[in-house]
Amino acid sequence: MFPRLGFGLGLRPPHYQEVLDTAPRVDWWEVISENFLVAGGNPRRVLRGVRERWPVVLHGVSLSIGSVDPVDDDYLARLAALVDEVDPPIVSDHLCWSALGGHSGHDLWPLPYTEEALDLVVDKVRRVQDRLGRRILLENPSSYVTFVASQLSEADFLAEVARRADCGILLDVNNVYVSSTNHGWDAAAYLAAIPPERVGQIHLAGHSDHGTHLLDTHDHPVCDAVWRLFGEARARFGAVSSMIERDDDIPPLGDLIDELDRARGVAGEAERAPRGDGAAPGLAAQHDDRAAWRAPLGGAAGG
Amino acid sequence: MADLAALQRQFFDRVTAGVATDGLIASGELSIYANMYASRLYDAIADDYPKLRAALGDGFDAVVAGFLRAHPPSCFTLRDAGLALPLYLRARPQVPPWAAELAALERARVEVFDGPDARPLAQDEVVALDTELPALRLAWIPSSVIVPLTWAVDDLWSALEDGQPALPPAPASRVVLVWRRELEVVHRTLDPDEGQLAASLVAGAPFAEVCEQLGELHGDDAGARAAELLLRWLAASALVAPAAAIP
Repeated sequence: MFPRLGFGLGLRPPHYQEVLDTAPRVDWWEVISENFLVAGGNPRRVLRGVRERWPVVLHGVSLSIGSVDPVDDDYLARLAALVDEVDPPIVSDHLCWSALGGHSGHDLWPLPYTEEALDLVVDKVRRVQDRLGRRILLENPSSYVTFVASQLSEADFLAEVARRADCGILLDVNNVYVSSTNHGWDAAAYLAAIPPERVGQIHLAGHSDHGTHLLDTHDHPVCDAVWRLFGEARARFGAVSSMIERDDDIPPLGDLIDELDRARGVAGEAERAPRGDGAAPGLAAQHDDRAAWRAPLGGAAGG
Repeated sequence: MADLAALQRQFFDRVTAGVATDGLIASGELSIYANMYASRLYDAIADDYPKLRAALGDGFDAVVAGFLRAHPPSCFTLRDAGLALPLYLRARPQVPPWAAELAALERARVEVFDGPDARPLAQDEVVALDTELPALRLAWIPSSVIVPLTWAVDDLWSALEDGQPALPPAPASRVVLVWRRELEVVHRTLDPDEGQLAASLVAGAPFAEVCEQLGELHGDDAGARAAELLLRWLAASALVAPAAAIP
């Protein structure tokens, strides 16, 4: 259902020029959509240069799909124009809300997992997909509260949104770990509730431990517990496009590429291992879509 | 939708304004979100207004807090969270009167950084026009902003850039041109006659009209001065070319 691109990184300003100059060993890049919804200048120059050589997927933070506010038409129009220009294999945002009454919180706020919220999110995802003319992926958020009103688990809610809205899931393994630790959820049960055919991308990232809770800060390397969970995810979901996000205390690019090699190693081990449910380790052998998406802008890439 | 709307209103008011909630949360701490809301917006505004922050010192934090209460962010992008700060400062008697102009200069640099791309007018294109030169329409490149000043905040900006102390600027009537030269954001304080021309070059003006305006200031020397300014602007890549500039 979703292209399999290999192993990617989040493209961040401190690495822009080095990426263009050295063409590092990265299969694809993810960019934050909002950073490129600008008229011109260096961000757009970098995006054009990177897209000429790699697949670039768009990851948004402002869709606010769970807000009772309508989708921001101006934002959606600008995102649609960027999608047309970049021709990304994947477009994603978060299962969250971030604006109310026209005011933005610039955060990824959690939803109560209720039937009412489910209907709202499904309706809005359908509208967004109709406008963009393609499926989107929704990412499970890290969260620091749960609501009295919730009736469903987050994983069941996300799975149901994906089924009813016919969208994909961006499974952030670090977020599963952070939220599971913060709320006492069972991370393995969370993965088990996610329908494999809906998982179109996997995120890896680091977090910080604040004693009373974990915070999704993207300022550390991926921790061992999240690597283990990533292995479980790859065993269950197969060779899904996987990547590392780093947004603070950003290390040299070479360190992230080394970390990406670890992701390759963990994924390879997980996918070679016999599965606990007795099924053959076959998902990893599914086709590789990287070549199709390497076509330059305006080229043969599509779908 | 009433329940979800009410829940989101409670959450939003608690996180953005500290209003107490009732029966909302089963576990966890809303203060985590409140702290992130405040710190993320503060960081975004501080990143966009580093000289204002340095010039106001400890007073900057109170300015940001008051600004965010008066202008909660309404755009999807953090880039615009501090867009209205110069306007806000103009109506604040408790901050120095020059603060709004320093903020306007810094905001102009933000706007220009990722403003529209355009090819600048090249000197050889102008030379090639020969006798058609008077009809050449001169216009600043799209990624440019004219900042009129009544205080010498351009000097304050430069002093802070050079690591000098933030001395209060003197009153001064000036015009600053902020523009993007290839990928670099630059600004320059215009000469007085240049400053008088600056506004007409926003919409674009034929070279002949520029000469005419200079004639009122320089009499017989206007032609030489016009040529000098044209060469200066060309060397600075400050004029847009040719499709939009040549009728």
